[in-house]
Amino acid sequence: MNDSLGVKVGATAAGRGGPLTSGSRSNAEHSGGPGQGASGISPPEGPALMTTTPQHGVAAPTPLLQIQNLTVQFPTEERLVTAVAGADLTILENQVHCLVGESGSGKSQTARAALALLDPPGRVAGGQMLFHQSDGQVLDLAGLKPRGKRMRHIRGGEIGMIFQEPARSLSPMHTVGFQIAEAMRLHRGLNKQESWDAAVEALRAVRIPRAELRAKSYPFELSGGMRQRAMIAIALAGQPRLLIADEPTTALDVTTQAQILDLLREIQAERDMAILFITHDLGVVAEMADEVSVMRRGEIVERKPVHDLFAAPQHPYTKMLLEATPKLRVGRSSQTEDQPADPGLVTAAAPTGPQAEQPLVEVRDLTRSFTLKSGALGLRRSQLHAVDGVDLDIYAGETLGLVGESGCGKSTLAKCLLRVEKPTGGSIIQRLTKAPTGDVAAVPERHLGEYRQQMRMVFQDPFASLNPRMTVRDILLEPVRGDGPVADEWLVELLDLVGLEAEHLERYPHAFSGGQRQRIGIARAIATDPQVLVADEAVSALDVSVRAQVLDLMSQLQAERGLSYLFISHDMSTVEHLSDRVAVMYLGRLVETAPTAELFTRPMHPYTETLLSAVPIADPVRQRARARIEISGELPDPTQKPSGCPFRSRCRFAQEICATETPRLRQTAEGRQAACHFAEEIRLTGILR
Amino acid sequence: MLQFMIRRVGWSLLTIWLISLVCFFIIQAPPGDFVSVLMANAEADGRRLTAQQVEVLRERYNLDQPWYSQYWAWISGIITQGDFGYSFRWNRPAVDVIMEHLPFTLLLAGGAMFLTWIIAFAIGIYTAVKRYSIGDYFWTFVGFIGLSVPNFVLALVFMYVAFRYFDMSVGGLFSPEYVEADWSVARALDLLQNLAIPALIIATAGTAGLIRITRANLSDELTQPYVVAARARGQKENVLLMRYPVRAAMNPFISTIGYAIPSVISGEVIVSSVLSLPTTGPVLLGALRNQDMYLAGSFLLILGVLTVVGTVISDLVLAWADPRVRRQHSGAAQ
Repeated sequence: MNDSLGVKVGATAAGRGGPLTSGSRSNAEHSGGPGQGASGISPPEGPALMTTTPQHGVAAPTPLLQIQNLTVQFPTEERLVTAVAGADLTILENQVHCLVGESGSGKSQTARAALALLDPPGRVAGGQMLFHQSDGQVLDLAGLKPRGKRMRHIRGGEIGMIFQEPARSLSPMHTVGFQIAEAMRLHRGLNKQESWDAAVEALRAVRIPRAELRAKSYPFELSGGMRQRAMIAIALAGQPRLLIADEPTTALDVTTQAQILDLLREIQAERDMAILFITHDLGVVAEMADEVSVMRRGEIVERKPVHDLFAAPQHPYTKMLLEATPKLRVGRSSQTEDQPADPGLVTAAAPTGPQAEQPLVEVRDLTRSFTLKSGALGLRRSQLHAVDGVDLDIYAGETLGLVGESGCGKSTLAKCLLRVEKPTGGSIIQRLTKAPTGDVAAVPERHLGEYRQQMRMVFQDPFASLNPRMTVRDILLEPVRGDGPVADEWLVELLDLVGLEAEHLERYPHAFSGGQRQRIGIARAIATDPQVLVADEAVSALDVSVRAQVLDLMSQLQAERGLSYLFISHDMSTVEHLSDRVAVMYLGRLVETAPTAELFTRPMHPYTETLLSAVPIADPVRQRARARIEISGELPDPTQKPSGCPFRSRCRFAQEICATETPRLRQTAEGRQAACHFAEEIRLTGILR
Repeated sequence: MLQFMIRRVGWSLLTIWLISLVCFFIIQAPPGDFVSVLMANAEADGRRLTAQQVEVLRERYNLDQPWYSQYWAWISGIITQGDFGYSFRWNRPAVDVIMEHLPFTLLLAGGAMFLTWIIAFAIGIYTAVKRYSIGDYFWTFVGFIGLSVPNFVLALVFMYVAFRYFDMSVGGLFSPEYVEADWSVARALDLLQNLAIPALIIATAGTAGLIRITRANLSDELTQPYVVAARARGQKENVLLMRYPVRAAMNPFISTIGYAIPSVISGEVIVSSVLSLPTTGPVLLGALRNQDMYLAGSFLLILGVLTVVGTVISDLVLAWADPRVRRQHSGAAQ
């Protein structure tokens, strides 16, 4: 079993080897081949080593870390919070073990307990954590002094750890190189110069280009993906036999996530290291895991090899999690009616399709620029075109998904639509209000009242977007304050619509859970009976199960009230689940719009293909059979976009014309638009088949 | 970094110019002018200035000119010749009066600031790391006493204790036997000993606030993921404490350089009066009370300039210490 998995894993990792993996080709080549980069973190010679040598070719599944009946408690003045309640977890050597659960399930605390890194006042109240050292000794981590020498050796030397937020896990006051070199000094007994050289090598080994230069950079000068690579370099400095990865890609964009997951896979195979991978994302589990443990309320409810877990979940909670995760189904039908999967046969889409009527909102050539000051006395200025000439239509009753990486201008576009930001150029023609307002992009603030009642927003953060000093009643009344007194029945009705109850009216936001708060946010948005809702990452902060409920609520409201949604998200699977049409944004421009099924089946812009390819499908069989389209490089600095096509610097089809001519968003097929010179010629792969 | 420095210095020159304008108007504020005061003084002595003498004096100080030429004469005198005008009360050039008192003041201020930092740094770190422990409560209590007890009371208590139990001479800069003596090692030591008590008194007040700031800042930093990350790579607790969170919590210390200078100089007025120290504080107070406007204006100008210089220094040190400040202003950051 383990053997066959291992083979599969190796094949996947090698199969995906694009430009990124050139330093590491395959395991066989690695030891003697061009792997100069990797040799920097291979075991150094010298007797003064406490670290272990990875054992190559171990076949028998020997346990590495056995957590037995672990209990972690946080005593507070009011009560005793038990974060982990008798959890059992066994991680085998060379295995990727995924620990899945929703927020508050205790998965992070379990991992932190192993390294005695619990935040005060947390403590291990019971259980054992047996770590099998390379010399055969078995050590109970629960019995070590948190500040003692042995624990400090375990941390980094035997067990490395990477964290959710690479930006905050690196000291902003020190260079990345310094922080990696510190780990080198601690675990390899190197001197200052040697450790710096080793740090540069380590950066190279995690595929950071121009490593010498990057070593001297401060964390805030690096992108999120590079920071996480640097964190990985730190964690690997002491050649640990176990790497704990605590939601390492949650804060990253989907394309960056794909790169980091690839890197972890490759490194795991190169070094025969085990990984304890903590995540809430079943797609990531499907991509990474050999074995999965599902955690809920401090207990492990199910443990299975990954294929078995997805194929035959036993525990009701596991089943619920799997059901709540949006599937990217093969030959999936659209929301309203069955459609042929072959894009060639797709005719005019849903009844609300583009040809049916005039759009409610017509955005034309919309721009929003910011002027950035720099240089002496702030005289040198550069322009940041956050939204750079966007054409967009929103039709009655449809859900338009807007996707793109962070920083692509999605939120700025949404703010322009609501006129929270004043567009720098372009026009927004709307047919929402009875009295015409003219171009929303240009009309004075005082004429926007009615428009803003018709176009409402649901925000990302359910905690920050509700005033903690207002009761639910006040919150719901605020948008309709100008309309005279409102009956209680109306408020109760409104609450009922979003699945809340009359007794909630007098409560303050802190009394509600994240999902309930988002329901309040939705109630507030629909209080004015709008026609369009802009949902900017409205479900991103919610747990999978809650997310599914809120999405259901949104679908239901749409059916009942004929709402149109502009659904902005970085999460492709949620967008696919909810949207009728999808618009893809890159560096302030729309690069493609298409009906959802068609976009996911056969994208017409290379960027869309890359995005889709990076989305992990929550199905290990399908996920591992896919061919990943490698995306090269990082998102360019938005103030220095490439000439011509903004995507050309990362595009595998780029030609000369791409540098000179900016492709316009143009009709490429019925109901489809793409901004690529070669949209018709290139054959791109989607997720759905 | 260079651009950053140029910009900072440029702005501070502008600020200094504005301060000089304000100071000039303060000098000009009382009715009449310098010569009319001089005439009044002469009359009080029973002498009389001739109309010609008055004219000469008015011309010399440009008092017959419009205000901007007067300002120009004043400021150019300061810049080119170090001529700050004349102190009527001391009957000497204002600059002499100031220079006589400034060195001791700076010594006292520097000593007080140094003590403030040492004490606040140590206690701040201790109370942040051992938050909600008995030690934390104890030092917090001590800090608040230092904050709330007026300086002059402390000064009196110190004087009494030092005199009664340690037989030290307090008050003045030197013990009686050294007042007229030539400079020697013993005299210098005596000076330091005499400065220690006022420095400590002035430091107590500043310390309490800085302890609170350090404690709050450091407490925030201690729970940051990068501290956990440093721990997770196996670093020793005391090393990582000083290397990461304390380093990040240092910024308020550096910022105090700017505002510590004026507050220390004005804060020592009362302490110096009580301890009869020949520092600038009492002299400034006297100048203001006696409408000795050139002296007062010069003082204000110098204090203002020191404040600006202190702020620039703290900005530059901050930029040197904190890469986020440094790199963001040089445009190297993304």
